[in-house]
Amino acid sequence: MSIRSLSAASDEELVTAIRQEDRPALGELYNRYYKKVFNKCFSFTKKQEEAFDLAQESLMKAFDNIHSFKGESSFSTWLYTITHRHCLATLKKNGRFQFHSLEENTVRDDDQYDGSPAAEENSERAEQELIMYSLINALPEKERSLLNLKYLQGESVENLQAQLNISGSAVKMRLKRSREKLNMLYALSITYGLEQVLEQIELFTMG
Amino acid sequence: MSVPKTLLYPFSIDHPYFEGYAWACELAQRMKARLQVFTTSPVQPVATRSVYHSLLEAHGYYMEHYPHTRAQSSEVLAEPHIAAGELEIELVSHLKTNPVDIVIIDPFMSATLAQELSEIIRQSGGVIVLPPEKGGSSTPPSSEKFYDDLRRARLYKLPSNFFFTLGKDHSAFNYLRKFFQKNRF
Repeated sequence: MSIRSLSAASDEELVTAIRQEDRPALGELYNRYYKKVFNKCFSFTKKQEEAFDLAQESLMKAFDNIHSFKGESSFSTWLYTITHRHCLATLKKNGRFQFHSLEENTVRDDDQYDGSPAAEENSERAEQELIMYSLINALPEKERSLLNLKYLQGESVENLQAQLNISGSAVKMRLKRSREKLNMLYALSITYGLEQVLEQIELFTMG
Repeated sequence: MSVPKTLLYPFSIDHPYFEGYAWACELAQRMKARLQVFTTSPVQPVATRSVYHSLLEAHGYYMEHYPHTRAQSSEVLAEPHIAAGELEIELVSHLKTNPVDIVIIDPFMSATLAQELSEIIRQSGGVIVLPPEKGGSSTPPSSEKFYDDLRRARLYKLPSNFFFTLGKDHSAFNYLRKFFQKNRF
């Protein structure tokens, strides 16, 4: 593939070329996505060093196994799914991802992912979970802590009232506002994309 | 079980370094060694992201240009160390606290580190200073280029097992075989 046609080629055309040992096609496709993969990993970890490790590993997993891309989804979806799964699996291994209700069904080793409809469904659920996890992490400390205490650790309103030294109605009001905010951010994320929403939150927080 | 060797590749994103990085990855792959990469950033954390982006791009260059050895053995993952301050000073300081087996210095970096070279040699197990690219050469990196660069590199105090380890590399023989073919009687 010529340099001009490389830049004009679709992702899927590049994948086909890579399968025919076209190395510049690999370079072109890799360069289209490495920053996006890093940013996705960063949305999980909030630490650049960890995001780099996860991105490097995810990119190698994807590009070393590009023959397993079946074209049932777009290349970007396939790549991001691998990235999500790798991030989730690593965070779970490090004890930093504990959504008990879904984790056993959604976090798999990459080797076990078979691309079947059931696996795709699990993958979607994992993606929803990823969005919620990323958004909770992006909330201000007070709201994040309150939601974690209530919904992850199962603290009662009475306990929260004592811990935070505020009235029961104030606890309920804060929970309600935090839930509503999270719901709104979730809706925005599935409409406009998680990255864009996280960027806006970051800008808003910094500003 | 033997402890894996550790290689260190210092770089600066202000100079071209992808060739040297890919060569260092290739050496780590062939030696089954860990690869640390070291640089400094005057402004943290803002500049750190650009270093990580650049390193990921460099790794893509490696994946693109060295497909064959990569397919035959395990993955090489770079372990970044990003310090604040001047590269020359911080590199020597890093070596004092984090001993490594071999430091790989690329041609662009060798001028920057010229003053500190003797100290870098003293603080490490060995040093490889890579040669400048051959003028006008558009040959893509390959196993042959890997050994050609090694042949033209300046080698200092390399550990005795270095060549023994590389001697186990089958592609080395493919590189040497062409000399037999050229010099057939």
